[in-house]
Amino acid sequence: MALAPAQVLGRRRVRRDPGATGTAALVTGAVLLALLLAASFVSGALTGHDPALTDLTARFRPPSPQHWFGTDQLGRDVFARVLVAAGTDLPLALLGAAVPAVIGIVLGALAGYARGWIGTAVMRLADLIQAFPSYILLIVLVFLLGPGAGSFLVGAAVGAWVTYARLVRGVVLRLRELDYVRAAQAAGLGHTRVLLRHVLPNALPQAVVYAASDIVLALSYLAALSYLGLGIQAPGIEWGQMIADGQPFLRNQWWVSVMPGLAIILVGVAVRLIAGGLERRLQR
Amino acid sequence: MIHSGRFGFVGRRLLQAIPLTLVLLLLVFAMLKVVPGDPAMQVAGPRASAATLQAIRVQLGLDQPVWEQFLHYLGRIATGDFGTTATGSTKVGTLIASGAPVTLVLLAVSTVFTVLIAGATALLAARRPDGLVDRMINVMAAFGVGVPTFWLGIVLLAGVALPTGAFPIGGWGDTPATVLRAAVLPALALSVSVAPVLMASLRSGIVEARRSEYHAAAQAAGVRGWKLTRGFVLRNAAVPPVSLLAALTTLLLSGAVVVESTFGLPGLGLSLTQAAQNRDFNVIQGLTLVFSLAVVVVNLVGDVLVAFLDPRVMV
Repeated sequence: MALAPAQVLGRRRVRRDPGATGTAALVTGAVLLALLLAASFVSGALTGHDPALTDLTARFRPPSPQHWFGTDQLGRDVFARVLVAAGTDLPLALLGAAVPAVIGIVLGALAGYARGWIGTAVMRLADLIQAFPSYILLIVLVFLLGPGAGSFLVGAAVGAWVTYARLVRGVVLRLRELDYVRAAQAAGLGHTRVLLRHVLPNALPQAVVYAASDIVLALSYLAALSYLGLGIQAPGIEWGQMIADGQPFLRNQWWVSVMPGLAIILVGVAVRLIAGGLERRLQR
Repeated sequence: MIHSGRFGFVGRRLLQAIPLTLVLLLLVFAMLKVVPGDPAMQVAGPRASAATLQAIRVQLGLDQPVWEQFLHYLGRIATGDFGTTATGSTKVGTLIASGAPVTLVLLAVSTVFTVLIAGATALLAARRPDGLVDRMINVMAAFGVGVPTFWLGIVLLAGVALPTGAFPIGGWGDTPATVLRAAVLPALALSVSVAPVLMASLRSGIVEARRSEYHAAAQAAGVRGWKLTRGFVLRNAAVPPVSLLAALTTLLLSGAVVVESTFGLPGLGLSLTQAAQNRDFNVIQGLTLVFSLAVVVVNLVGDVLVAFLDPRVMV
């Protein structure tokens, strides 16, 4: 999978007290995501509209105080549906970032610590996966496994572990020669313990920052797959799928398709705050 | 140390690409073995007798050892035979040949946009590092990366194409002028997500070049304005981003798959998503091969380009 844009951006030096601004950003971002997730459970009560209720007398109402985001082709309240969809999108995006991070960290640590043929095999596999553009890898895997949330998670995991493996392997390769690691080994500690307690913790902070910014990437994969009809299917509600459903009515009812995208942007902002905050805190 | 020069480097790099290409071919071939269902059953239908199925297996070569099937597959690929679509009406090769120009034009136009957007914003941002403009551009870049390309495409359709009527609401053109007009909005949507990556790299390159001694020397010698920017700043700042080009092209190619669906552009990406929706195996297999080989070629060209720009790379 190609390089992740979010990982290239935003490594700036920060003046003044980096820890405090970091904490503020981290908390703001986390609260935003938590609020959105919480709203997904009570969307009916919050908006006064049942997200699944079709009302053919209220089709295509434009955004108004009654319907903040308007109504869709079946008269359903778009705002209520956008909130409900957060309950699908957010957990899957979090998992879609976490699963490859864990796999990549484990494989990278293994490749760096064991070296030899294991290391070579892992890194050749990483090269191979990077030969596929990310969306093509995703679409092909979903084709092989069939559409759905599970296939999305497998696709995200297969594609995105590479970055973590390279990062962690690099750190581990550097650290394993250092005196304190040698000392730990000489003191008779097992490989697992040396790796987990003395080597890996040094590689983790950066990996965690990557994983946080990868939430956006995972969300855009999920939304794009659903948009293409290969992700979350009809009874489920998902932002990309809502955008696709609204596209035929773009000419006169733009809100059906455009409004769900605002939620994706909001998540993007929240995630950026979290990743930036984490980075600043860990730098201190 | 052997110093074989530029052409030796190109040759060695070509040789290195061969094993990767072979493994890719093997993987794409293996897709047939992973996909659920019996290929012979799919040809003959579920009610076919065992004898018919066996006859079809022989006809498809499925009774032979796997390595022989692979060699047979290589032979077919070498002659450009990718099989036919599920309906049997079109050859996959024809589909690829008709889609490739669309995707290539889209890639070319979005590369131009990406370079223009990234170049302009990087120059602006680097004027005062960590100043207000720089920080605003950094925030915009973060938005650009986070906004889904297909959604941005829809916003462009609703906000630009429909009100102005200057661009088609989707589809492709048949003359150079209409083709370019059809490519503008999708390419713009695509560039917005990719330009920030190039911008970040260019920006730090420019900041670094401005701090250098050769920049101070040129300034002291009286070089001013655009001449200074072009000759002494951009020239040096452009070297690291060139090594990003291959990665950026891969990103654009990946994004094109989605954006072609939004705008209904009849390119390779639209074929891929439609084939995934219709479960058209031959098309998926052929396109996967084309896309992955394209990435191998892009990386090859990228490495060679970097080597020619910066001779230290080749040794």
